[in-house]
Amino acid sequence: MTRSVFCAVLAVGVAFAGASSARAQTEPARPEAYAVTNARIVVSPGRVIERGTVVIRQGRIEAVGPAVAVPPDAYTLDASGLTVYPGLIDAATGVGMPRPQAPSGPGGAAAFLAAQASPSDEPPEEFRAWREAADFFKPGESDLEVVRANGVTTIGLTFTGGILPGKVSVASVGAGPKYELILRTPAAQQVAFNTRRGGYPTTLMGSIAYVRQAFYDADHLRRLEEAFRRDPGSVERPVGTEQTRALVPAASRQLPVWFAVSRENDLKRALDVGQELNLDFALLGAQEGYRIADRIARAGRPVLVSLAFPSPRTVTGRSFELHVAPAEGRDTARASADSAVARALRGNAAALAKAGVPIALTSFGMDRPADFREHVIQAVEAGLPADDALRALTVTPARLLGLERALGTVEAGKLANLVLVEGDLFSRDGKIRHVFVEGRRFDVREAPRREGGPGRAVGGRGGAEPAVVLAGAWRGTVTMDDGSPIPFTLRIEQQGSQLRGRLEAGVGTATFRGSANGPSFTLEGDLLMGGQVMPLTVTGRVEGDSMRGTVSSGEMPPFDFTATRVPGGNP
Amino acid sequence: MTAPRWMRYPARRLVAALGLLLLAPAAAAAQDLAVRGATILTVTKGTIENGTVVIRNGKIAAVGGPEVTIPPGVRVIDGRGMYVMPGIIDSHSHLAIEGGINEGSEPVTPEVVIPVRHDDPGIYRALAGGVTTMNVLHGSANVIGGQNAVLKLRFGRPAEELYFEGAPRGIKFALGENPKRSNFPTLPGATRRYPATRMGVEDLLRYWFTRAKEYMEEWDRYERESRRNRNLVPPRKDLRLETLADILRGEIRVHAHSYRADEILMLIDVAEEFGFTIATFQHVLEGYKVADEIARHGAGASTFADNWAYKIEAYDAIPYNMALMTQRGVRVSINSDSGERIRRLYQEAAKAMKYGGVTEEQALAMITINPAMDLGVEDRVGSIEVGKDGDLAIFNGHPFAPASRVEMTIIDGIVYFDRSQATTLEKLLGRPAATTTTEDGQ
Repeated sequence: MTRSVFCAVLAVGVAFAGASSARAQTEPARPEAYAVTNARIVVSPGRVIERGTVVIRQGRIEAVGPAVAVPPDAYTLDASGLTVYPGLIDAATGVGMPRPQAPSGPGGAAAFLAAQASPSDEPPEEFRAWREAADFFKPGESDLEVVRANGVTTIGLTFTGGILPGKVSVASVGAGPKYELILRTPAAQQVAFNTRRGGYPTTLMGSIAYVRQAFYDADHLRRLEEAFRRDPGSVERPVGTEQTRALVPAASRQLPVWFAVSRENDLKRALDVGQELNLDFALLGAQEGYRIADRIARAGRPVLVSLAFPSPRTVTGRSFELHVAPAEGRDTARASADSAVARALRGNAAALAKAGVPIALTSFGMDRPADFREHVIQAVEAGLPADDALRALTVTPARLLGLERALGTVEAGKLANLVLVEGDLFSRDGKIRHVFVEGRRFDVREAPRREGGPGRAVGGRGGAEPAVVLAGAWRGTVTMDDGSPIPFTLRIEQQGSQLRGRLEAGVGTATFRGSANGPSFTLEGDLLMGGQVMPLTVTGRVEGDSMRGTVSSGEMPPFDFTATRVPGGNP
Repeated sequence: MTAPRWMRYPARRLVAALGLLLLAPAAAAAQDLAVRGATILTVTKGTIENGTVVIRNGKIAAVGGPEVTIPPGVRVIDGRGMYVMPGIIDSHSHLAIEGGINEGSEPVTPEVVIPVRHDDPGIYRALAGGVTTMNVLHGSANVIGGQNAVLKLRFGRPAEELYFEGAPRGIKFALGENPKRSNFPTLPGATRRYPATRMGVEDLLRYWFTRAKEYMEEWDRYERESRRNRNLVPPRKDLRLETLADILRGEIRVHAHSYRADEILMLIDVAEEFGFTIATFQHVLEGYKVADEIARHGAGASTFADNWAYKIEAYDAIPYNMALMTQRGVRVSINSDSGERIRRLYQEAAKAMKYGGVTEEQALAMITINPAMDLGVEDRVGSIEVGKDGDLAIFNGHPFAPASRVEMTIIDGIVYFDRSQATTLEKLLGRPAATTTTEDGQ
């Protein structure tokens, strides 16, 4: 503090003594005032000041313009050759949030029995509508560094999985204790049509019915509470569970609802349910939104587009092909069809924007948040105009998070969240140099390029790790949703991180291709079952001589499996 | 080592075929069509040799002999040597369901509604078997399962366009071994779900319909009293009880999975006690023992032709069931319950003539007008009559002849399956598919 006062005095006293040179040694973490000078300033999408100054004071933008004077007490950053953008907002991310991995502890049948054997008063994990993401936000320092390296200064905190998993919160990705980072909570109620194991609802149809009933119950509770306030003598006393009470604001349009849905028909179901319940709602994820962009536009709902691009083979409609060709030929055909679908998936945001849907770009569901900007660039390459991309990362998410007056543009009065880029933000050549989060400056180190991918990871996260040895034979069990076990054997061939596998089970056989990253692996293939072909994805984790994970098919909830290595590799 | 021939087939052709399938078909083609020179099995109005059917705007506009004039510009299908019957209707299917067919976590779940998936390849296979309408039902794990979806097989159209417009709502019930979970292994130590006996099945039906009556009374009371007490709050909206109340009001058709005579009589008793009617007994393999009671109650019977003894409660099945129930005045239909059998329901219907000697027209009715009545859509489909939907199956021989197959399936005057255009295995291989296995040496 004394040092900063001293510096200010020095700056005033010496008039133009060049605060920027003083800064190198003496700049405090968060100076009282800052001036970014000689910058090209993108105030908001489509509004550019070719050369100007942004003055920051106490974490806010104090002034912006071509002829703004640098206050005498301000530290100065000469941004010649740099473009200043509004700090980006990733309105839905899992960064810093707990992620339910492949089940830990006893898996498979044992887990099913354990769940059945210990009925508790605590509702299941899937029904925790009262939780606020802020209470579960535990970012590691490298987590936020990764986020800032992408130019993101504000994040919407979301849960992974669940049916009514909780409420979305908003955080700044600066530094400091967690409570200082939280900007707003709650910002939205998260809802998804996921399923449970071992209890209602175990199906999509059950999940939809559950969600509808939950909101009807909240609406009923609100009416009872209002009537009870008016005249307690004439109505029953309102009683609601923790979850029902928690849903009242969302049920009465006081809090937006975000439906986390990705596939074509689930998107339609969310539109139908949201309209039936008269909610103020948005779609979250919507990876197949491009398939029904006009329908979404007509519904007038915004979309928080996930840039976690799904595998082309899981996309709605792909199962058409499975019955028309024999196995080997299908692989050839699929390769070319897959690339067309992959292009369409990357063009999702572009298609929605073109249809007139207000969109925000998010990392929701992305395994590697470090790749967020790379995926944004891919979405732009797939046809999303740069101005639309910027809007989808600033103004629109600010509005969806209820922070449009505080965030989203480089204008006086807003929080001083800025990204300084050498070159174009939406080009791979553009380099993010500095990020300001509420006036605090972070310099972005350039990360070494990740092998085999264009990630811009900062810190120790996200690089490809050497694959564990999977080669050999494994014997194990898949546990179905009713707890019944299906034994299988799995043979894996391995070259580095590349895997090929063959699974044999009583119900049929499957061939797989896939890859391993450290102890984790993914296999994709087709299960031949009678005359039918069912696409399967196996994800899991190896620990020594055992593995566990889930088996999923596009149409079904995932099932747990466990397996152990067969000694000698011969089951 | 030479690659098997099926590895060398032209992939491009397949990609083109996939491209077509991935795109929704271009905007619905003109729904005008005519078939001339075919044998027309109208089901309700006899058989017409050298007959003509004209479809305009998706509806049957004319049916008759060669004298029927076909308006200019209408596509004419040469029906010489062909047999035309009404599009086949399956009273019981589980195709096109997304995300699980049994909400089996609880035994009574009428609040759930079948979520339709339009990209199930089974729909296309069913079309290749001449099916144009199906009743998509919840599974039979629950005493009272979920609500159905009556679909037209408009393959390639978005999910919402598959629904049979205006079809009455329906729901699945199930009796016997499936809701008891008798044939499903329980992990050692796991709790069994109630009910475990047929007594328990009946108990649950009475319990829940009693609650539904109370629910209706609660709402009636609210309607009455809210006029006096403005501060009154409407009762809790309970999706489960509301659906049961709709059954009691006769707004939802009950399709009851059942096998044994005793449980069929039990359900008739419960339904009549609570004042509703069972629309169909499904499977109903012992229906021949209680045909008079089923007929008197006014239910249909949707059965298998000769499926037998696949579990204890199916031991008393006889292939004469269809004929015997028909003779006692029960409306009989034949259902698939399977993505495989749905491709050959016409062969199943032929068995009704072999076992018990029903007439050709009665046997055809079992897969057309009778299932249409099961679903309450008989004024729209199920026979070839002027004014009905233009839903046709065109065979290359009589549908009951063993070697006949479907050449074309038409819904609302639009061709959804055409064998000459279909991507068949033969076309991909460039030779008959049947030799594939020998060539691979397997």
